[in-house]
Amino acid sequence: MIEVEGLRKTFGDLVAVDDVSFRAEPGAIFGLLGPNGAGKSTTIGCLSGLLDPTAGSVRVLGHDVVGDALAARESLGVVPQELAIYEDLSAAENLRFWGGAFHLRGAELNRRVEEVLERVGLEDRAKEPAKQFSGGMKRRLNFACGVLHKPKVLLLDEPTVGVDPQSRVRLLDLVREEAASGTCVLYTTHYMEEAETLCDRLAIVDHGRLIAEGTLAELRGMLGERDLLRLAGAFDPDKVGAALAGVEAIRGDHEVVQSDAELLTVSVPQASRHLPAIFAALDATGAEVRETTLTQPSLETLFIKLTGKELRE
Amino acid sequence: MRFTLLTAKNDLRRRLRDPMSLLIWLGIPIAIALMIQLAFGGSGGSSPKAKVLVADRDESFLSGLLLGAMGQQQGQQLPFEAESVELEEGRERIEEGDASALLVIPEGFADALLREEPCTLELVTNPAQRILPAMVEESLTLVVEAVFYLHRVFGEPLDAMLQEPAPGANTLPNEEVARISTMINSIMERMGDALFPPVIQLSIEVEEEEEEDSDMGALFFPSILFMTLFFLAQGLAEDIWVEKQQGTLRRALTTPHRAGEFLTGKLLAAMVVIAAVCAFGLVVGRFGFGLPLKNLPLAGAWAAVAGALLTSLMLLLQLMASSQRVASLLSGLVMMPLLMIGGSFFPFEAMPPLLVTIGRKTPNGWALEQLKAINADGYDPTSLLASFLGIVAISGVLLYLCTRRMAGAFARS
Ligand SMILES: Nc1ncnc2c1ncn2[C@@H]1O[C@H](COP(=O)(O)OP(=O)(O)O)[C@@H](O)[C@H]1O
Ligand SMILES: [Mg+2]
Repeated sequence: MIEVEGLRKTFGDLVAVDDVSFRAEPGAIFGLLGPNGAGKSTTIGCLSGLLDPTAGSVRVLGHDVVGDALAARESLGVVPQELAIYEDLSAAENLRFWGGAFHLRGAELNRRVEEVLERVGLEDRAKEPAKQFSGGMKRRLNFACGVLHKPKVLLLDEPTVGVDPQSRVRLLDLVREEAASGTCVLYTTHYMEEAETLCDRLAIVDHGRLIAEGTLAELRGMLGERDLLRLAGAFDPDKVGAALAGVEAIRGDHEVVQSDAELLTVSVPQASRHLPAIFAALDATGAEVRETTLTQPSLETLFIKLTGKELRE
Repeated sequence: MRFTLLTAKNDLRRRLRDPMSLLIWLGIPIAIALMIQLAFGGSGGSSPKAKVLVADRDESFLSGLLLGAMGQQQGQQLPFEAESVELEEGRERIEEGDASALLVIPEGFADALLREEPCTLELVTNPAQRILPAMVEESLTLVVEAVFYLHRVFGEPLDAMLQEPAPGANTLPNEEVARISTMINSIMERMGDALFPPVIQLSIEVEEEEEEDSDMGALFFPSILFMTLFFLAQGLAEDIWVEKQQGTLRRALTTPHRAGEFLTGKLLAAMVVIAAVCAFGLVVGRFGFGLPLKNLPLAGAWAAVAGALLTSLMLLLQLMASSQRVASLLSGLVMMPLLMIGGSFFPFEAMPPLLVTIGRKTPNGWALEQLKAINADGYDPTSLLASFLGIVAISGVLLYLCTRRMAGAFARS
């Protein structure tokens, strides 16, 4: 179990993580979803003991990662965003070293190494130096090094970035297997679909802040049954609000999420049915609509609703 | 403790995976040793002297070094006498058959060496003579090799700066590099006055101090061996950047062990490599140069702890630097004077007393003297034990500083 309370981490003036609190349970995948620079890796760094939190507390299975660091790390497995393997050594040698670091030895170590090599599909290449591996294979080895010792808490930092599609599917299955076996998994990503299909609970982060948290269903619920209507063109932001309020069918049941001279984002229930009325009302203000995007409720729309911008940059 | 041994084992395995580096570390000193043997081996007594004219058109510290090493005046150990001349005069005299050879150091010699560009030393030999010019050629190869080796100390950081601009930050523009090399140049020129002429006095001092008929090889060998150990320490210390770049350092810091255990493991591996190279070197010295070799295991152990000291010193320099390029420049600047003054380039026997007094206090100079004493069975067990403990204590302190720095700013940046 991971308990994070009021976590804050600054680098000089830059606040990378700002008052973040969450709780991740065993046997489930907790996702941290946010764009690049949101503070995901910094959070993972504080959890794994690489970075000292500026304020707040982090506990892993009840052990404070600062005050009781070694005990906390005993139960941790980390799959860092950047590869962390010895390129000159073979896959098996890498695994044996990192397994040894977590007190595995002898027959038990051998068994685990064989097992995990098979799980990540590297059993045929076990004796080759890692530098000869493809990017996806290195990623899988990187993953294997983090899970070999069957950690109770597994931290995964964007493990699928830059990975070929086959390796990606395989990696996601492996993550599910870990959670199914009772591991508490923290998974960071900036891929919406990954978060939606993989995570039991999710926290959405932006600029170091946790802006929403809950199960996928709870997060969807925050949007209501509304669709997100994004219009690009030329608008008069001062008149748009009043014009939409004048549309009978959606009165009192819509929200202007974001509005400026070029972009207008509105959340509306069953938007497709009200498009003609909305266009007519905007037309009356002299607005010109060049592009229309209609999205059903999703994490993407939630993110846009919460931050006013798209997740993908 | 188990993790320390595990790390040491892992590091040794990684060293063995990279036999090229090991071969280079071993190969360069062996090549130099062989050339010393070729040039000076068994050449005791009176050998015919050749006269070599030298025209130095470069007038840099490196060409000065070359001249110094050749012994401009009465270089009695070298099988030739060198005389500085202007190029025109030199050519005329060779034609007149007044000398065995004319060596021309071309303009831009130091520059080319520093940039690792090819450069040619021109050796004009006297067609009328056969044997003497051949000897000159052979000995010159040795001297040039020594200069080349010296350049390795400085050349690499300079080279690195010239060739691979850092991604992003602190790129030194070429003018800056030129400025630094000019600075080094002038430092070396000043130091050169103090350091290089003594080489010429070699024979005089040797005759006074050494009762056995030690030849140049035996004299130079321990120095070269120690230079090798120093380079080895530097090379092994640099591995921390590899760990950083591979991300393995960060991973190691997330295992349930203290950072110090990891670093101690790496240091242990370095000690094993250094002890092995030293033992190997001593055996070569014993059979190649008749070096005394009374206590091989003790000498190996001494090399190991001395290696720990040098490695942790170089490691601290690596960790203090903001980038690997800065680190290699920094360690070059620290290593060079230590090598020069600490008897690792020229033997103490060939240095003036004042410098020897200082040189024996450098870590490498001190360790070298102890190693010689151990080999010659002339050590005092009590003070040697105290030295062992002293080294272990100092290395411990250095290691502590290294650990703090590594687990802090170094791993996080
Ligand atoms: N060591 C560091 N020093 C200074 N700033 C940093 C450091 N690490 C991360 N940051 C900054 O903190 C913010 C969060 O970074 P990061 O946690 O890596 O984001 P993410 O993993 O979500 O992409 C970014 O603005 C990044 O530039
Ligand atoms: Mg990141």
